[in-house]
Amino acid sequence: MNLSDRARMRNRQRNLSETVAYALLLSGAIALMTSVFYSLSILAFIGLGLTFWGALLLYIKPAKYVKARLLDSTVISSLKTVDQMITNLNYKGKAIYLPPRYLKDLKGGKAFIPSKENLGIPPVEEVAQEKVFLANPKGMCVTPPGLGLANLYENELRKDFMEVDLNYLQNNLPKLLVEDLEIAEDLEINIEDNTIKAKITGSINKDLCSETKKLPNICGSLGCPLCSSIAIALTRATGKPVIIEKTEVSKDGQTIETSFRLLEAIEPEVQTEMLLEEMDRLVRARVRTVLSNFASLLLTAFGSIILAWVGWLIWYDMTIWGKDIALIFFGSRTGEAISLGIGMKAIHYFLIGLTLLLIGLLTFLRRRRSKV
Amino acid sequence: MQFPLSLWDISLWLAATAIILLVTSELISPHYGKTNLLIEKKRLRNVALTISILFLITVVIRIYEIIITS
Repeated sequence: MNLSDRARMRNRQRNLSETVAYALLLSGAIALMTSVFYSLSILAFIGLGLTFWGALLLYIKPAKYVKARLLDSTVISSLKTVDQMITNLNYKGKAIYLPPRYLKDLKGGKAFIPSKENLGIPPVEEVAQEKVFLANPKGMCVTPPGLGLANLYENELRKDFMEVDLNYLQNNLPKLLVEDLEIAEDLEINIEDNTIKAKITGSINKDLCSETKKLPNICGSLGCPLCSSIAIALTRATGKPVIIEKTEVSKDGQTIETSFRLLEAIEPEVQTEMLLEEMDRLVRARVRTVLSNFASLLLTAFGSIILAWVGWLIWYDMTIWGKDIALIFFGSRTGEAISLGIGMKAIHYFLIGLTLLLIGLLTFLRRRRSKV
Repeated sequence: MQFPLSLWDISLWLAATAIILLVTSELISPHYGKTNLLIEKKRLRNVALTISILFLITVVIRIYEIIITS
């Protein structure tokens, strides 16, 4: 069997579910049409069911998936490169995840690997130059392997980790990783003073984790992408530098236990000014969001009140006066207060209410999307 | 030539489908550690909820009719 034959066979397997779904849809549609022609209710039920399950199969089919093995092989090479670099440079310190105030891009991330242990954290202006190798203190700044994942967490939760606290992460990260992203079967986060322990069970990265275990400068220092992403989330939420103290993997690779430690940042005078600027920027952004939310809330409230009133009017006219719906909406209201002297009808109020409600909801949704 | 199902037939169909989908959605939920099933579980849950809401709407219509006729 040559390569093209294999590819054809794989395509055929992949298209099987689609073929079944389309077949269900087609037979359902035929059954429905026949039931209409011959007025057969049983056939209509069958047609409805077939059409629905055909459409459902198409809808819930995953768009794309990759094997975890393939994913691991693409990541491991870059981790090996970083490990080789650190080994050749003979850097001994543990990687320190720097909080957002050290970064120009707030969605970015940097981990500082000092040349020796207990060298301390570099000043903001040193990191802001975006150099890889720093002189004071000596070390290197690299983009952590879990940065993409951490940004994905923020996008999925629709929340900026800089605006949340540790409790939020403790409550929401497990649900995100288990139920939404399905990266792991279970995640427990325990907070004890400055130490945060994460216990990950049944991670899809377990093979990658056992591979990174062989790289001493990665596992327990810079971390695998999953541990690294949690470290970034922690440093963003607390605003403190974070180090990965130790990582323990069970023999079968099912459980990964990682300890993170929050470091107290050394605050030089220059950093205070930058911190104030950042706070000012965050407060302004927050005020803008609140105002926009208030406007959408106001529109939605007005729209809802008008629609509720129209609903009450319909109910009243139908139950008390026995009017039909067309007359209620389109009937003349001349002489009534509703008319406002300009010939307003119930349909006008209904349309105004609906428009206000939709504009309010759209403004709110647009705001949320732009925030993501 | 007319559609042979009444609103109440569709209501019954919606109820049965909603139960099947809601139970399936719950059983395959990643909340119980089932992460190896390759389907869009979120979409399935949304469909299950939509069908349930549609069924509830038919119930509301039914109640409304009972109130009006009494």
